[in-house]
Amino acid sequence: MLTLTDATFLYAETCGIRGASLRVAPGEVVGVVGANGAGKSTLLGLAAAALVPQAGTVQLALTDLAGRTRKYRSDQGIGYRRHVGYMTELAPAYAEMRVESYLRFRAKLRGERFLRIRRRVKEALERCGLMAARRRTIGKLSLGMRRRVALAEALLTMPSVLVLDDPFAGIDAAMRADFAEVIKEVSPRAHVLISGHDPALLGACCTRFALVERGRVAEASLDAAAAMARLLPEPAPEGQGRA
Amino acid sequence: MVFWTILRRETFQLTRSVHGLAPLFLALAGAGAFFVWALRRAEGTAETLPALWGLATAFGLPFLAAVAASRGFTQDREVGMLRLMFSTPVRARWWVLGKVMAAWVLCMVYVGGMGLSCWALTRWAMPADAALPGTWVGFALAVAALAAQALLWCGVGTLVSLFSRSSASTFLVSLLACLAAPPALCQALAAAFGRPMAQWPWFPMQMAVYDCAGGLVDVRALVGCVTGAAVLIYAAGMAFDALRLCATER
Repeated sequence: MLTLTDATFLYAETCGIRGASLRVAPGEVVGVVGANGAGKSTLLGLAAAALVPQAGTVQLALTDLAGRTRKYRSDQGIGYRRHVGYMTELAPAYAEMRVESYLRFRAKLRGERFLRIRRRVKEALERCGLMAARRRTIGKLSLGMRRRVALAEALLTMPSVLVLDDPFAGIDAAMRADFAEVIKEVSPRAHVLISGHDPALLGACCTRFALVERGRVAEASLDAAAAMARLLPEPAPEGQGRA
Repeated sequence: MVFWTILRRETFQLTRSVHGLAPLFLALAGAGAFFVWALRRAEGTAETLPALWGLATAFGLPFLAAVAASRGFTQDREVGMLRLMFSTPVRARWWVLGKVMAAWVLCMVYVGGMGLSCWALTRWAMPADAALPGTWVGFALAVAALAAQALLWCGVGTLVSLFSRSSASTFLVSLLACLAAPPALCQALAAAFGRPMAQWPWFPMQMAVYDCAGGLVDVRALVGCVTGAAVLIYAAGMAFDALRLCATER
């Protein structure tokens, strides 16, 4: 079970996430939705251990990310991070590297055993439809293909916690369907968190939705229709909407 | 294994980037020209060949180290890799060491290149009847002094790159730090303790290489450089962890 309890991370007084509590069971795919600047990426950053909570805890089974001292946090964080696959909003990668070399490099950094690296990289390439592009330089790929590389990187070590920050941004419908298929395929053995702005797009792969509003988790178990209703602005009362 | 993985990638990519080969050749050309000028001027004096070579090489070193190290974390910040690095199960010290040592390897390639240049230039530039004394021990001592200084400059550049938002500003700040910090430190020490500046081992750094190559090994200068580099690398590791805690990768 992935558990965030009163997790807080503030960039400034009003920016970030405050007191977020969320539980994700294995096999669950939770869509994190909300307006721009609501705190979705910060919440996902906490779940991916890219950020260390200033207050509260982030736990995966018995591995606690927050601790008493900085060193303790850092060392515990290493253990937690071994279980995490993270695709950030910008889907960054080293542009000068080839796809396969980049994935091999990342697999080594993520502590994958030497003998398994080749197999893991091949699996990730096949799963994300990158076999044909494996010898191409990342900088010369289209945005959609770069997002595939970032997804393959997140899936490399078969992570227990899969965190995908806005994976459907800037990609076409066919690629979106491919991504949803891949996420469904890996979700039975992982805790998955996906952020986005449109519950209708995320609906293809999410089992429930969490709504983030002004730095707080307002709701943690909405369905797609309820999430959509909460996100859309309320219609103006009759006679006030238009002049 | 993680350290070697990072070092290999960083070194390979550094030599292929604009922060690698172009500044290397520029530094080689500048230092080579200075070496030829010093050779011709040294005719009939008591100066040694390793001392002239060490002095010429030392002048290009802060420039090259600042360019190579300026790529460090700044490039990761520019492409958004820093957040992905935060969530990777690798300790901060390995990231920092990998980047510092990659820049240092480039500096040592420069020192090696200057060695080859020295061999070629002395044949071409030195008058036939002139002879400058030079021993292998002198060259080895000069290389040791250069290696220690390069480590210090690379540490400075990598630490600066953690906080800077562009490679250009990292280069300028670290070059200024490399050139101005030692004299400023010595000035402060001289003012505080009332001794002449030249007696402090850190001033000027290039002269320490000159002295080493001539047989006047100043152990305090070498130890000072290596200790300074170790402190900077440790500080950069702490700074990387601090960035994760306050998320200023934005």
